[in-house]
Amino acid sequence: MSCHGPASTPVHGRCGSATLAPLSAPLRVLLVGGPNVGKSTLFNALTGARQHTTNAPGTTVELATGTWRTGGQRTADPATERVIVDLPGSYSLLARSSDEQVTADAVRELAGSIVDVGGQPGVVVVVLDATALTRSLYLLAQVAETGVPLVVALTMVDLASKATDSPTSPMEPGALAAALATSLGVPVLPVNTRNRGAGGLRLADAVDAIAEHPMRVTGIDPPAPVPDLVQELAHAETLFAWVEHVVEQVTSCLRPEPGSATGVISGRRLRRTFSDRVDTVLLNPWAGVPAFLAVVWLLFELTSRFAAPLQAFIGHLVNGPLASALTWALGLVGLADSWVQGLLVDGLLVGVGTVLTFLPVMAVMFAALGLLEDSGYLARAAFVADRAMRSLGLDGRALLPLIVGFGCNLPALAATRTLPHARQRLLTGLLIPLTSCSARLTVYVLLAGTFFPQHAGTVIFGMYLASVMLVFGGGLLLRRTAFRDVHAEPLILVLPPYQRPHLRTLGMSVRLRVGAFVTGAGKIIVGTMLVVWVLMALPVAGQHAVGHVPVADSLYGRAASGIAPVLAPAGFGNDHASAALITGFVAKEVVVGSFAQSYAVAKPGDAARPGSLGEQLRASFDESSGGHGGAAALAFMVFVLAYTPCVAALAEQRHLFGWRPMVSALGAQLAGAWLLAALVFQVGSRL
Amino acid sequence: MSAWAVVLDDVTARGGTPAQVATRLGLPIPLVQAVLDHAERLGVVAVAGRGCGSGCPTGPELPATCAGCPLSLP
Repeated sequence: MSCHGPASTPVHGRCGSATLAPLSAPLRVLLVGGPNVGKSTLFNALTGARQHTTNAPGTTVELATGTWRTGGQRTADPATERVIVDLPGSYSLLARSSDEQVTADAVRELAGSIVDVGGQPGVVVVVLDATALTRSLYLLAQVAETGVPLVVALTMVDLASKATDSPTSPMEPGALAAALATSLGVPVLPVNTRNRGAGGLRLADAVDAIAEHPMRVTGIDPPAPVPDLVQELAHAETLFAWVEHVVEQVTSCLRPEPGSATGVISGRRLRRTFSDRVDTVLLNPWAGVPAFLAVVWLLFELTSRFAAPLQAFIGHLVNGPLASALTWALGLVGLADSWVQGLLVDGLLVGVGTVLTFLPVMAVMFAALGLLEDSGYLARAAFVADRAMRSLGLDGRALLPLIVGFGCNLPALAATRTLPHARQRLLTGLLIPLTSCSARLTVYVLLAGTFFPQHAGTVIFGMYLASVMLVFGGGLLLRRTAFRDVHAEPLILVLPPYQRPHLRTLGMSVRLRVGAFVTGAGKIIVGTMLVVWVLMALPVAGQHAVGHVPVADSLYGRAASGIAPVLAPAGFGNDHASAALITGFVAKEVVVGSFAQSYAVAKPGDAARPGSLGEQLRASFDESSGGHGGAAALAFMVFVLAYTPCVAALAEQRHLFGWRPMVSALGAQLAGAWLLAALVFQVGSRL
Repeated sequence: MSAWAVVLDDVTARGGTPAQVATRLGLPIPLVQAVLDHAERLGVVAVAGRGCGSGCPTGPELPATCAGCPLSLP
């Protein structure tokens, strides 16, 4: 195979030097290439000031269009004008963004118009980055498959000789272009985008020539019209085999010595990076899992140590000075001791206070998780967990919804839609409620801080560990019983490199997410708190005025009292705990607020309340558990972990899987939560 | 085997960044990136770590998985 084309003419694979002729209609030229290949710089060099910007039809994507003029005036060549469009940078014609879609549509539209008789003539200039030739060739292959006439502009040739990972370096610019032209069968022109588009005239010659005598890229045939995934995968194999073949040919041309080029990449050694060295440890299952557990433990230690004092401060502020000030202000307008005071102080203010006390926990958690994700560590954790999931027979693709579940169960359930098989979606959807969402964290923080103040972080960590064990245990149980037909399929995860987190972006993210919590979840919490207050204000026994009802005689208290005996074997068979669990059906964030509200209302008008919320919790749990308050608190946390996450999650389960699986799951969650809580209390109280 | 097959086999079995896969297989990084990018576009590869840990995507890029989440941003 001859590798070198004529040095002084456009480098053509088949047609050699082109003869210029004035074109009867303006030629439409599309510039296509990946991001940062020098495409726009080339466009500016070719058009100068003769350009304008418009939006692509029906989109907000900006397109730069210009006039590419050559010849005339001081040259012997006739003046020729072409309309050139700088399309958005794209790695592929399989579009993933609106920008890429505009590029793909423009290329396919041009291909379609050329097929039509009398269609507007057009040529695509594919800009290849010599430093990333394989990636550029992949895009070139996709463009060539559409059948459009194309010319290749080769950029970054001077940098390619310095690139350590270029299969074709070192080389002469002309030699590389000639070798590529020979292999591709279409003109390849080296251009220097940093030198006012040097090579632009020869590129213009090649474009005009190819418009009159279109040529196909060697080895590329149009793909099947409507391929399914299997065909797509087979097609991908063909496409990359072609890329390898081209690079191998080019490499052989540039390094003809025997033994110097046995393949595209043979003999190439890449330097081990920092990511490589760290991942040697973190991706190792024996070291990666303990490292992951250590990081999560540290995360909860930080959360409990930083957030707990702030939570206490906010709680004291709301229940002390703010409550007193509001009570005093209502007294001034004659509403002291009225139901309005109860509604505003014990209903609305308690709800708002609950939301505010969550803010430090949420902020610390979001910041810590953001740091882990931005640094690239969370991806490693996902990879290690994926291996463990597969070893248990669960589908690897179920991992991502399950990870999302640790943030919020609702989007995690929605994420099961991405799983390919209905049975996999159902299995994963049944396990997601067992992932400990961030709303449950507020309950853990309150109870762990109250009952285990010296080991709060460890207890919270233990709850997350218990959540993972429940997911695994539940998965194994379901796979060996009702889901024997579901088979594991491997998930392919690509890991991003480690990087330094951007603190400003992180801060903005935390601010936005905390704000979203206040306006989103906050509304639910405050609304539920008001409903709870109304239930506590309505008497069902005794002679009480509305708003002045002992909890035991209220609708709320009666419902709680009816359930409390069922929870007695778990050690928390008291009205406050059972009522909090009922409200927890609405959302788990409400549980803490419900505790605060029921204890506040339990002592109406008592100016000297008997201690903080924590002290009252301890007293209640000690009483209902026969002196084993710690074991009862652990059992309560396990119950909160295992029972229904919230009504919204139930609604999503019904929407995704239907009534029967949803009701079955609800029953299983309640029964499982009760059994686990009773087990924890019975064992814990005997230790 | 082609680069397509060896890259997907390797990343399935051992994971890693595109650079790590390229180092292990002795392939150019851009080729590995192109293979993984194409595979991701076909839906057979996922990039780990795109979860709810930091920041919510907004506007037209909001994925379906965030629909209904009380923490998602408008």
